[in-house]
Amino acid sequence: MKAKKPMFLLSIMIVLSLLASACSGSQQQAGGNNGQTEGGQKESGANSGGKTVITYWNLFGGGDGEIMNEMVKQFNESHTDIEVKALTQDWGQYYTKLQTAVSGGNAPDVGISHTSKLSELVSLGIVEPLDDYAKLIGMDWDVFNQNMLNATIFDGKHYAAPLDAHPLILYYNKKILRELNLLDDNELPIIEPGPDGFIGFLTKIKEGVPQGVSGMLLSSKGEDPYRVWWALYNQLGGPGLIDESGKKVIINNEQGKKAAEFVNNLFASGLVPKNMEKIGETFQAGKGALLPTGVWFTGTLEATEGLEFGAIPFPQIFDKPATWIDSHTLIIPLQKKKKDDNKIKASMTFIKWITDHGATWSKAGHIPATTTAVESEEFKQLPYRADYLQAGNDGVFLPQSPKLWPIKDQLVQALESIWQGRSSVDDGLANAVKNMEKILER
Amino acid sequence: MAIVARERLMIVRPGKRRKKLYNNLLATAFLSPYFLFFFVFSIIPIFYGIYVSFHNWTLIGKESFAGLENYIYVLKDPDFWASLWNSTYFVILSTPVMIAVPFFLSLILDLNLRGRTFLRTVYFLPQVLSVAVVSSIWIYVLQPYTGLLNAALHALRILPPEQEIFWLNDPNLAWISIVMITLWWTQGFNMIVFLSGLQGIPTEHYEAATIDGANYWRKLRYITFPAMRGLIVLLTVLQVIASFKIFGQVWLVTRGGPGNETRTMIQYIYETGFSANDLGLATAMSFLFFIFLVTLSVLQFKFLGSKKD
Repeated sequence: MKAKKPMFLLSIMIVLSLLASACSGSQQQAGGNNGQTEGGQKESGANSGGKTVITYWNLFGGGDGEIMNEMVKQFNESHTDIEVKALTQDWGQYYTKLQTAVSGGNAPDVGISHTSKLSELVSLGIVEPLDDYAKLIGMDWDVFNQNMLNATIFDGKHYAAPLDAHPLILYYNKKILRELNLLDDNELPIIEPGPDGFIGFLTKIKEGVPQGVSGMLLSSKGEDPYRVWWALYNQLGGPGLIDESGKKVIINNEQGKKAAEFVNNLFASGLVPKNMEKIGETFQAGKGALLPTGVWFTGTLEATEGLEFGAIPFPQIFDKPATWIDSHTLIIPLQKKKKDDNKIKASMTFIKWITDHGATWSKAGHIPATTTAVESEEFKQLPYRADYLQAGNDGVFLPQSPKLWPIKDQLVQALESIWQGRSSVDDGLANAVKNMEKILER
Repeated sequence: MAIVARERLMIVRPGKRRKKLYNNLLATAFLSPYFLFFFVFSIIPIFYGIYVSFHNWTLIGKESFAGLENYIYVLKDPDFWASLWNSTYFVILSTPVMIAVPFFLSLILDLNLRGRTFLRTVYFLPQVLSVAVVSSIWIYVLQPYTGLLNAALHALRILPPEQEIFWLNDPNLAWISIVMITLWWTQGFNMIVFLSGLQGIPTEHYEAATIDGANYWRKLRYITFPAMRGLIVLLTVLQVIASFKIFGQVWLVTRGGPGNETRTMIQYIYETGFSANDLGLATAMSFLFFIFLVTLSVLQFKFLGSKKD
């Protein structure tokens, strides 16, 4: 009996200490995850040392992330009265975290949004209109590329400042094409006009390349083939994704079918092998002649040793030049607590500085959004980017719809079953319309 | 007499009641941390989820009361039934395999082989890996053009060089691949449970059978199977429930593709909640699925369960 008492005390102590460590453990973890938020909260309340401190959330990882962090550092060094604390969120969870942060009352002062996601954020009421704030610091909307800017205007109000555009373009391996005599004097690929010309180009490549080298590296699943379809759909003069009411989907028409048939034919004819994996790495290894993908890959390709590549806007196969495009923009999320004018001013100053220095950002491969940046010396010295600059103007943005991403997912899936041979072009497009309208109805 | 004896006991050992109280307190102290977390993080969210399912609810918060609208929408939604069928199809394909293979493996390991401890470890080891690791490994094995399996088939000239088998992209093959991956990953657990069940069967039964002249198969049929029956039923029920909840491997290996043909129930709930931002609908689906699983389990126990031999 006497021996049991110390045992009892010992066991209670163990339990209590486990509880305590569990609590502090989770707090530490929460501190780690939201530490920036909590830290931001604490410091956003105060002005440490006379500086205005603002928090900035973005979703840039990898090469993009390094360049953005470098830019934030440059801003902080050149602005003694403002300090920006940048936090990179995981790409896949960024928007969920942004929404929950706004509803929880601890949103960052500045955030990033894809243009295609902006209508959802605007309709949820979690981003602020920027017109008045722009006036505060004298930011001029005219310096922005009008194509990119127009996609960020809702009801005549600006809801974001475009940072860049990342359209779908075509990378090509200069060495492979040169050996096939498919490069002209300017080292640009020789592609005859029209759909037959492009097919002819691909066929020459397929027949001429050595074993183990692929022609065009295009995946038959996911977003890549869908973006090519969107490019061709708009090259054919397609009327858009949804109608005026925003409830009906209008892609099941002549242009939609023709574009889908073209892409489907690439796979069905064997010109492009189905289900290719790791196409980026394959191109980097020099084992592929063409790679249609977004401009974001330029930085990575530049860093690849021994790769001789070029970049052009996605070829005009049909009636007019067009390609898929999306862009990153800077937004000011809604703050549930009282508005702090100092912070708003600081945020706008930061936004203006970043967009003016689009040339630095362009090191990641993106097209800058301001004429200031495009005309700067720094930008003109960067290779490749000038070659595809025009794509920023020809790119057709997806429409403003609060449910854009969910319906885009449905479209991607329906198109995928066409490329996989699971449904015909007609059925695939009909399914796409059906599934997309189901979401739009809700 | 008994009453007098008890009273005597109470006089002789006055601390007995105190000891019982002490034991109860000790038990409560050990159990309470777990129950606290269980209550806060499992029970309360379940009821909160029921509350959410009666509203229109996004990640921003509650929007409006919806009554039974979400439930009616779900029951009329063809995608809901399609993904329910996909999960059911997986259960039908995988459950027999997930019970039979571990059972026969455990029979092998029950024999007195040399190196059986090593074999036991080997068969159980995949269970230790996480779903992301398992999926990555198997994508490398099964992917077209560069995957291990297709490369081997090409090297052995079983597959002509121009052809590829799309293990992960053809819907029928994709299901077989997912069953194969799941089997490789999780059969170890069932196997260990069966093994311990086998080792609980008294050897005298087998000896008696040998004396009566029974061969291996008769022993299996008349001794092993009846003795293991309860365990087989239990593991089948658990396996069915676990298989219905499949999400990770399918998401990582096929993303529910091509199109939506391998999209499971859990994946559809996830996409509805977090991609289409409709939490009311997602929770309604979750509850209908829960009711479905509970009904199924009850039926299973009823029909497979208590037949006394």
